[in-house]
This record gives sequence, C-alpha cells and structure tokens, in this order.
Amino acid sequence: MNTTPNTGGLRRIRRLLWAAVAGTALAFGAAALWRAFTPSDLPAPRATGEAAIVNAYSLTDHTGRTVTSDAYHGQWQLVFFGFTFCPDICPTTLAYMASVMDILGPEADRVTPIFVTVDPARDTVDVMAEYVAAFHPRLIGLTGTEAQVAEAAGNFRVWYERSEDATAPDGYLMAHSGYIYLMRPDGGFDSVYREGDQPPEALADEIFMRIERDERS
Amino acid sequence: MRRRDLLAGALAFAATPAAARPVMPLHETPREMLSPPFVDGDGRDLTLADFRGRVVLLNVWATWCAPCREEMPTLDRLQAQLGGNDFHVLPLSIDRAGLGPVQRFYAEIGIRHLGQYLAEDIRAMLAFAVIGLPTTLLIDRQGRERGRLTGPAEWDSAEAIEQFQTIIAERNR
Repeated sequence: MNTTPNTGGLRRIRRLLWAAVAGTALAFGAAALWRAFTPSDLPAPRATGEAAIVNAYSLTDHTGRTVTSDAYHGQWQLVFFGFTFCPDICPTTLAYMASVMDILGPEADRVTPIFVTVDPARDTVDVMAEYVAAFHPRLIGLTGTEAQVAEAAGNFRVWYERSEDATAPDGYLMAHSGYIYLMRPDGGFDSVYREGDQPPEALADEIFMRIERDERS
Repeated sequence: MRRRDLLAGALAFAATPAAARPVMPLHETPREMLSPPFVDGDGRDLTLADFRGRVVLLNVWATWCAPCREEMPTLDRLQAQLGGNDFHVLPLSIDRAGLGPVQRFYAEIGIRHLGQYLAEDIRAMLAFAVIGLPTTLLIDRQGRERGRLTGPAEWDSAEAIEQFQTIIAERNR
C-alpha cells in the first residue's frame, strides 16, 4: 500500500468515509445479531451424536403431576421443545406431530408425543393443559421451574434463548430449535427430525419401520 | 486502489434507500393453486373454486396461534370495508378441535364481519405450503396466488387496502 501524502482536507474526507464503513459494518453486525435471536432464523443446532442427547428431566405435566422421563418408559416418545406464545410466526410442528399420530393408527398406542415448554414463566400447568388439548388427546405438555426446564433442554441439547424485546407482550420472546426427537422405549435417543423435511406420512412410515425393526432385533 | 473501490462500494450501498416494503410481498408471476376441501360455519363443503371471480385474502390461522388472534380484528375491519362481490376475506382455521373454538374466539373478541371456515390442518398446510402461522395469501379473480405473507400484519392499513384495490381493479386480465 503506498499512500502519498494528501492535503488535510482529503485525509479528513477519507477518514470520514472509513468511519462510515465502520458504522455500516457495525450496523450490519447488530442486524445479524438481532436476526440470530429471532425465531424465524435460528442457528442450526450443534451436531449431536447419539451419546450427547440424554432423555432425562424432572418436570410437571399438564395435569399437574410431577414426572421424570421414566414415566414414559416402555413407550416410544416424540419430544418437541417450544412455547405456547409465539411472538410472530407460530411453528405448526405440534399439528404435524398430531397428524403423524393419526396416521400411525393403532401403532400410535406405542408412541407418546411430548411437548416441553422452554418458557415456563408463561406456560403454567393451566396454559399447557389448554394448549395441548388443541392438538391431540394424547399429547403430554411438560413445564417446570426455569432450572428444571433448563436442565431438560440441556440434556436434549436444545438451544433456547430469552431475548428481551420491548414490543413483545411481557417484554420478551423465546427462540428455540425446532427439532422432533424420537426416543426409544428404553429411553435412549433414536433419531431427530424436522417438520419441513418430510410429509407426516413419511415420518409415520419411518417411525413404524423403526418400531418393527426394534421388535425383530 | 482496492481500498478506494471498497469505499466507493460501501458509499453506494449506504446511499441505496431501504426498499419500500409492501404489506404483502407479491410474486413476480401469478401461481396456480391447489385447494384443500374446507367447510364454512353452516357446514357447507367448499373449495377455493367457490370464490372464483372475487379477489380473496386467504388467512390460514388457528386459535392456538397468538399472533393470528392478534391480527384477526384487522381482518374483520378489512372485510367490513372491502368485502363484497369483488373481495372476500377468508379466514381458514386449521383447529383440530373443529369450529367450536373458532366460534368462541369470534364471540370473545367481537368479530362481526368474518365468516367461519375450517380445514383439516395437514391438508391445508400441504396444499398452501404453510410453514408457520399466520400465513396469508392474496388470490386474484382467476384463483391464482399473487402474494403471500408469513407472519402477522395490519390488514386494514391504508397501504394494504391500496394493494388489494390494485388487484381488484384488474378486471380483464
């Protein structure tokens, strides 16, 4: 880089321009950060090996009963983390899970769909009871204390974040990763799915196949 | 010279005004649509074809969706203002519990102008490629999708109404 000496005026202009560039970069950085915390544009979850996901929690179900993951032992489990109050765009994942249950037909008796809130402050037992009833009679809603929910999400390697947003009711909104976990009857992690990756029929087929294969082995 | 190019580029970028965003982003070309079967509050079996000839604002929603509930009064006011032989607001609920919760919600917030419509959730989500609620589609008189917005809006705002009127005015296309 060879810089020829300039008059003070030119230098000042150049300095101003660089300041503008820095300002713009800063603004875009801030915008990128803000986007990272809005639910419509979530970062991909960390890559997880089978060993990383642990089906362990102590929470309260939507009937007020204290449960641990042992409560669903012997059942295949479809587990989804979310919240009832979506600030802007509501995921349709629970409707999708309910459809999968419908398509599974009699096989659905061996599967328990579970919805765990990451927003326990708003999602009380009563709120969860009303919410899960909108989707499927067998859908279990789980909530708890902030610490209990954090522990559950941590064990499932679910990323969620409370971001302060003055325009949202209650002043905050939650971001989370939209994955459906399939857990085996022994409680172990089996697989993970995303709603948009296959129609409900395909996921139902996949689950059916895994149940069959598990029984043969 | 590199540095000067960068500066020039940055300046040009900064000088570009933020694109004026319409309430509903329109498609460059109209898109053909599929319609799932659905019912109205009187139990009539319908598809989108029954609305051919009118511009339709189709709002896919559910009572469990907070932003959907929030924008519903703006759709009610829009129907009051524009609804008729040329335009119709079609709020299509995908509540699995049926029209009961829809009726209760309408009564609760005092909806006066909107009809009640209900579709099977998964069929509506697939047919309209819905990835989140609310999803609102603007459909022209020929039954083609002209625009789509995922997320809530103020549907009775002056800008929105102006946009709908432009599509309504295309009588002979």
